[in-house]
Amino acid sequence: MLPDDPRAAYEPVLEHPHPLTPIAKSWIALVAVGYFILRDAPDILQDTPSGGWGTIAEFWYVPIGLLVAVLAVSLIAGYLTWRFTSFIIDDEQVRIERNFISHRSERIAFTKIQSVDVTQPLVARLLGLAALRVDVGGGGSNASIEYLSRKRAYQLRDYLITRAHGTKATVAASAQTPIGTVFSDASAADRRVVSVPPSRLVASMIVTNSTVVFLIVIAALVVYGIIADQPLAWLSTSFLIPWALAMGAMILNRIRNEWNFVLTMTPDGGLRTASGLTSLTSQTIPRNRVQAVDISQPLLWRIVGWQRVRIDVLGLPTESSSSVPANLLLPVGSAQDVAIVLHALWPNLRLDAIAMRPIPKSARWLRWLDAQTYSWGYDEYVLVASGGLLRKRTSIVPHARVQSVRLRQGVIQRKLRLADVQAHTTPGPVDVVCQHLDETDARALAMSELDRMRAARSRPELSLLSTPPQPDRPPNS
Amino acid sequence: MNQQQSALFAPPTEAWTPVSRRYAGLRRLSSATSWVFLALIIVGPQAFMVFFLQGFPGSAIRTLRWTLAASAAVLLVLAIWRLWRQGAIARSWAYAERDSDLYIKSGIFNRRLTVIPYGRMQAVNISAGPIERAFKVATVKLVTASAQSDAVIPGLDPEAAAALRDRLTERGEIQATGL
Repeated sequence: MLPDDPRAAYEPVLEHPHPLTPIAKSWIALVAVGYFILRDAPDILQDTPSGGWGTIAEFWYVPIGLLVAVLAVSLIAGYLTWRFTSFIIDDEQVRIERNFISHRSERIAFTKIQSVDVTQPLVARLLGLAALRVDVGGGGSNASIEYLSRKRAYQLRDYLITRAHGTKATVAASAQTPIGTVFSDASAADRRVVSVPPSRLVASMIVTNSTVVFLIVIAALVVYGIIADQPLAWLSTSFLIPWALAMGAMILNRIRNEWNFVLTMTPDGGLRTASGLTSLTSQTIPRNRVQAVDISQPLLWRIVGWQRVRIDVLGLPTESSSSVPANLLLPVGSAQDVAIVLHALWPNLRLDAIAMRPIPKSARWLRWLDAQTYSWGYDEYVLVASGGLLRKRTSIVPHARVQSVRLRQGVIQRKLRLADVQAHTTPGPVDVVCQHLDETDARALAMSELDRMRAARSRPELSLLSTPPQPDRPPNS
Repeated sequence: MNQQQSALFAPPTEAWTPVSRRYAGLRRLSSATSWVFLALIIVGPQAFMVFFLQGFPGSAIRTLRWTLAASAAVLLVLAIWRLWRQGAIARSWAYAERDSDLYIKSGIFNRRLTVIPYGRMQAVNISAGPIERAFKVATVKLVTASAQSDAVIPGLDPEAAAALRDRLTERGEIQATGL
């Protein structure tokens, strides 16, 4: 290797996970052993039933010995797994080697990184540990390193995100930037974009469409009970309690996951969401990996003007299949919060300036109640579809991120001379469909969208991002 | 088909390239198979009761015979109508290649026109199952980063499918863009 080769200066970094990893991973076994010993040992020692071969008290060491053996085996296995796991970071990729019983080696090229998460489950968090998870999209295999010290996890995350942006850096250099604490993953270098107060989160979870349905059902049962002269009959209805419990569990789970939600912007322009009550999960997405945005609003949120912002990122698990609030950019916020979030994501987006066009009156035959809520529009950068009454959704996709376009028309639509235009995005919560357009408009929109996609793709980088992230607020705030 | 509809799903250039004529045969066979299966489920138990089970009172037998005849007739009419329409459905599948995009249209009741830029194609797959091979047709599937694209051209002549795949792959390589 020549001395002036830039790679000569680059030392690959080889590290093991944190030594406390086995404890953080097998804490359930630890707790179980401790629980059994504390619960049963006093009883066993006091019991003195006479038997053929002595009292149980004489053999107290048998169950305890078994438990200790289980504990020792799990700790030794954990230790060996830890001992034979290492990760190597060089100038182009991360390599994770697991060489315990079966040998596995995972390679992650920096250019493929879609997002990097740092998760801190409760026990790991108490021990000061954190897991690093790297999403590479496509194949669905998320490489994870469990566990690192919190500081090291944050440092490596910053390094990986810097590299995912295409910037050259070294591990040592990115270790110089300040990092977050146990309570929030926001350092002095980050800029807080928006945060969600817990009171608003709890209120928004309770005021949802499913709660309304539940209350309507209860009201109907009460009215029926009064008519049938049995005013308390609804209390004994069998399905209400399981329903209420399931709904309560879902609400509590979401509150636990989305508690203390903070969206920050990292110095190199990544977006970082961090949230969680017992466990803290923080996810960092390079902004150029965001494929599309969805702003949704259940009917009751409209009273207070709250909205929810979700995004499509290649390779992220969809919200339903995971407990971490992936794909979420804002759990609940005012219109101004949404504007701030969108401005942080795409500074050049001018959503208010896009002329949204209504759909023809004849669409009322298909959308009886909410035909007037549907609209569509586009500008130089993005395509926007909006509509819906029970859940108003506005989907935004940059032309450069549209994969393909579809025109579709059902039988009734054909009679009414309407058609849908769908812009296909990568898998995720966003579905961009301009519904029930006039036939001529639909055809024109679909064909011109292809030209806009081509023009947008031929530009060097997504023009929405072209201005560097600046610590200012959107003009309308 | 009136003027408006043909304008909505009109070819972007000169004309649509149709799929193989043999595709209609494949569609008829698979449609016929499913209708026979449906008939076995619906008519079979009734016929069993009418012809093999003993001991029904006369009025019940009469009712059963009527429902058997009625359901068989309805199924037969529906099946014949669907079999007759399969030709039109097969003919509704067509594609067109332009400079930078592939156009695929399909359907008579629910019509779709899908446009995929060559640069967005991640892969082009050809598949032909045993029944497809018996009818000498193949299916070309275009994979993009979006699961919604669902871009499939069924019922292509195998040589045409291979040639199309080669053309698409070549253009995809030239015009490839990042995600």
